[in-house]
Amino acid sequence: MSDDTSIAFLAKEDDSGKAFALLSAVVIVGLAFHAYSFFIVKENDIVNKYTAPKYAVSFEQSSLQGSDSMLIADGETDVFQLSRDIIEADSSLMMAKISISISYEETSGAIADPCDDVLGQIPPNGMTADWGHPDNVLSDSNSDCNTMTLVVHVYPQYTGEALQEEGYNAEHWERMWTNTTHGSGILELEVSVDTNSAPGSALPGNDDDNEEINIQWTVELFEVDVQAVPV
Amino acid sequence: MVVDGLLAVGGILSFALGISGLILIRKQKFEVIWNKHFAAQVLCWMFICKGVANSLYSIGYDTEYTNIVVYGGHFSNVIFCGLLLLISLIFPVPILRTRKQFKIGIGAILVYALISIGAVVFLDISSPLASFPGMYLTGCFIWTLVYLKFRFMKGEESNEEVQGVADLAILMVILIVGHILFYWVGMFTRANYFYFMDLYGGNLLNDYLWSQGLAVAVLFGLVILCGEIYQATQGRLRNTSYIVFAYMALGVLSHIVFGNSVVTGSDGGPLSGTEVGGLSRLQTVWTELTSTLHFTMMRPLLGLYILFRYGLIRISEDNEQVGKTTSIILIVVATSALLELVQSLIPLTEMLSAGILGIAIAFGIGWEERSFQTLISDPLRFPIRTKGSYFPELDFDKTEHYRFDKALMVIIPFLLFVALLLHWSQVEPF
Repeated sequence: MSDDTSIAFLAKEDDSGKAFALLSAVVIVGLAFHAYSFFIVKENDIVNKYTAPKYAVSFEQSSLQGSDSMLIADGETDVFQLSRDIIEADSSLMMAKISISISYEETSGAIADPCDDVLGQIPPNGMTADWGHPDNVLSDSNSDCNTMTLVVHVYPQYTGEALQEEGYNAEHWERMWTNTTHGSGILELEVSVDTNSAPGSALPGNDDDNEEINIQWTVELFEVDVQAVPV
Repeated sequence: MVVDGLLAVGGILSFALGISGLILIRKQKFEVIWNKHFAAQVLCWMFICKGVANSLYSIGYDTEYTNIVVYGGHFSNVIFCGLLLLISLIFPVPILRTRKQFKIGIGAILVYALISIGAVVFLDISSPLASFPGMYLTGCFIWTLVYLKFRFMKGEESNEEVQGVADLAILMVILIVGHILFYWVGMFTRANYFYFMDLYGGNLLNDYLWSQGLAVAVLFGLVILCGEIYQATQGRLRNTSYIVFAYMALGVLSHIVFGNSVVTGSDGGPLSGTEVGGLSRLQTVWTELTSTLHFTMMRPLLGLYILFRYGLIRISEDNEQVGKTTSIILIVVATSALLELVQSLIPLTEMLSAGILGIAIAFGIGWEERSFQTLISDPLRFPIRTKGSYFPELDFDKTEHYRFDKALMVIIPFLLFVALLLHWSQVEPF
């Protein structure tokens, strides 16, 4: 039992204050580091911690093109298929839009043989795409040998224009534009041909019972880039 | 209104421990030295305050009673904070060594609490004066100093009484700031999850004072870690060493889990201050299983252990039943809450969940039966024979202890009434 009633007793007893001095030094150095970090290194971040972060979302666009041709018999329908695997798109690239041009000429060689009736249509299934997009052109037909262009927008809400987003984090916005579900599956283009015969086609050698259809496709692709906008 | 289940359970556990602890103190027949007797009372009242605060915060801010939640919770925490300062001044080693010093100490803490409460009522709840400045610094400084003195006392390395005091100092630090130790790496790597923690936000000085409190908790945790590593190299590992290693190791894992994400909230505990945002599922689960679990469930269980193991409450035939009931309630509620938490993270069928719960509770009670006697039968005693000079004997009669209880019995409801008045006055807290 000690008669020392000083409140500094604990600090001095046994070790002449060495433990107290050591602990005080640790606290002073530690708090100096913390204050430096708080007020110098991170002040800006701390002040703005409740400001929703802003992100610049931009897209690097590219495209893949290809063509094919089909000989379709009179009254028949043939199917042309397109998918990520078929076009061999890199997995980091997202599908934005698919444009398919259908062109043909009258190839029967008969004099005054009119162009055939050609119908092209894309059934809204098979591939996961933005089938309700108002600018989609899912079917077209003609009989004047003009080129028809069908369009399917694949990635919803994609316009190609850079965006400024607010809140969440960079990963969130990156995830939003790297959903590989969009563009998965197989897109099918059905092309039907009805030949129109020239007057006098009953003559031998003037048969018009098929047509060669040329298909040219363009798949627009994009890759997203998300950058935090400094506050 | 969505009630935060874990916070509510933590609130109930704390409240139950506080109330039953006070009953046990009243009923105990053994004489307990003054500082332990007061420490037991203070610890029980601290748990009651935390129980009230956590129960209120569990309601959430998105309610028509926001002001009661905010002010009631804050006032309870102010009293908690004052009691924390008081207990560090008397336990395990009294800094206040005379009756006069004790009274001055209580007076100073009352002034501290009044200033803090006055700042909330008349200034702003996010005022720096209301941000509990020095709360962790004072308490943890004293406990860490006690730890250093007793753990490294020359020639007393195998003295159980001396080392018991050091163990107790470690447990007190873990009890109060254990949930902050899960974030210790973030302080040194300047990670957002550490520096963005705040009380209410919106005031840089307030934010700094709060963050400073977290920083000192980390510093003391590190000092103790270094001390225990040294002891380990000398082959003197103790059970408390493993607790320190576990908490600090989880702190390293936390850094890997959080990286530089933003975990805004009061102190990584129940996140009663501001909301957690933008966390991944893994990060949310990790927060629940570490800091929130410590804050809500480990604290009462650790409190129960300290109260019984270190003889703050002495159990005799007269109060044994209450003691047993308290520990059973705590263990069963904590076990079932833990299982619920696991169930929310890993979906289990109701049948399987009920089965596991039954086993867990049976195990909990079985464990309690076996360990309760061990816990109470041989409490670690100090004042110690070899170093009695650290423990001055003062005389306090029972009425003084009762007066202390009565004072808090008035202060806490009064402050909750003030919160109600502020609610009726439709004060804007932020």
